[in-house]
Amino acid sequence: MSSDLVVRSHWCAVLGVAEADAGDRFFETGGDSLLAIDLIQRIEADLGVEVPVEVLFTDGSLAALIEASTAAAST
Amino acid sequence: MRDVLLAAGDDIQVVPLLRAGVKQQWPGLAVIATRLFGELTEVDEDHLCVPGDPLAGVVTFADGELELAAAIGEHLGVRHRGAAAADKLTQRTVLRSAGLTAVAARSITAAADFDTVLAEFGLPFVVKPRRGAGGDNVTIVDNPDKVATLKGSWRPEQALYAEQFIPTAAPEADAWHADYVSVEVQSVDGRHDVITTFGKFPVHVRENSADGKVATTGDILPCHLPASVRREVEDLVIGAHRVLPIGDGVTHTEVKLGAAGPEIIEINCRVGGHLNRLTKLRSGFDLVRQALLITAGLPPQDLPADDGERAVAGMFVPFPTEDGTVRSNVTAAALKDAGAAAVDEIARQGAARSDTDALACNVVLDRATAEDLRQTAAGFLVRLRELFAEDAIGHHDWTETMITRLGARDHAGGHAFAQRAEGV
Repeated sequence: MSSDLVVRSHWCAVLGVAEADAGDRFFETGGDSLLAIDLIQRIEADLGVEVPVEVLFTDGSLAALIEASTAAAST
Repeated sequence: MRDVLLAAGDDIQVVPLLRAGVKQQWPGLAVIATRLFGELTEVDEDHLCVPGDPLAGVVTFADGELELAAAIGEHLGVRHRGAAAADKLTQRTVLRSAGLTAVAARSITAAADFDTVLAEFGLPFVVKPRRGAGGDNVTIVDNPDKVATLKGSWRPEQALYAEQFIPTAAPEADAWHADYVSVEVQSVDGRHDVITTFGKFPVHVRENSADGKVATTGDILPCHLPASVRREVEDLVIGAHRVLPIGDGVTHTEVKLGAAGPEIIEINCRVGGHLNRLTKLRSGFDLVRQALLITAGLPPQDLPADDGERAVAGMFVPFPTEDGTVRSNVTAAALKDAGAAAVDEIARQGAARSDTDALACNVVLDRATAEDLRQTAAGFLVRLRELFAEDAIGHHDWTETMITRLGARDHAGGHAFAQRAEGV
């Protein structure tokens, strides 16, 4: 499964939504720090790499998280 | 954690101090905190040392950790806020001695003390924990049955006290603001300045709570009070800061708009919860960053300008009852369509209502004017009633009351307290 799909599916699962837009921001659509931890751990378990967690806490958008996860997975 | 990360920026190094139990209970939290801030140090009352480079100061944003943070700061000999002023009974006692409050208070050290308080204060009176915030475990005792309930459930570790109820100036039937406000103050080298003052949505008294527990429901900027009333409130708060051993940092003080004038409800010796998002939105001012700067001994940010028409609010919408599970399936997108600018929390279908402290949602509203905010809040709650229909929100509850009050035409000042103070 591509990084994009991994991140999207876990994003939706953690936030309890059927779909998400790239511009959605985690902390403005029901996310909090504990859910953020859950999300990062799920993504990292599937991708097998460490994701730059600060991206989720600073930018917070789905697009930025996908980009960062993809970059991490390709190195 | 996110607020602290953003507030620290590139010029403040945050060294997280975590209780040992927290690391075991939330290992994921510890891992992420390490990746965000660096190595964690575990602390408790028997382990006050912090290895590594010397700290500039110690600060906490949690009421429950004020004492430990103070103990660590004192042990290390670094900037910190003392914990003595955090005791609400101490606050009331000192303020009464200084003539800054007319409200009497008594400690509850035995179940029988509730009878003594009832005899001395009459009904209603208020029972609170000496340490606590946000309305947590605050009980308005307005009938003998509640006294009996409190006596039956009393335990010494609750550390409760009782105080006289502060009568409110009779509100207008359609007033949608609460009968209290909060004042955020910064204290630096003994100088106390108001950062800003928040209006509030009216509290929710839980219907199914035999002991009348109170829940706060949100904050509003700008504050709706007329200038002279606001000055009176802020002067009282600054006066209180001068007589209490508060120390440097940012405080959150709740003030009731009493029938006989403003009365301090309590001073919380840390940044107010859920307020930072609103000050950042309206003026760019970061309360958390200010607390970090003051603790670090760095120059604080300039105080925010309090002008402009933009109105923002945080709203926590309560379920009518605390128990049971969430029946409705509501998404953050639906709340945004209903008028929320941001959704900080939303109760999930199937989850226990208590998972979100019996809140259906915690949202931010952001509008160009206060009148626009009122209309948006009214429309939002109407829609929420539809979205959470299966949970009976909007029927004989806080939401229904607020829909009525928000929909009605608001008078200037929006509160009878304003009329008293202005001599109208």
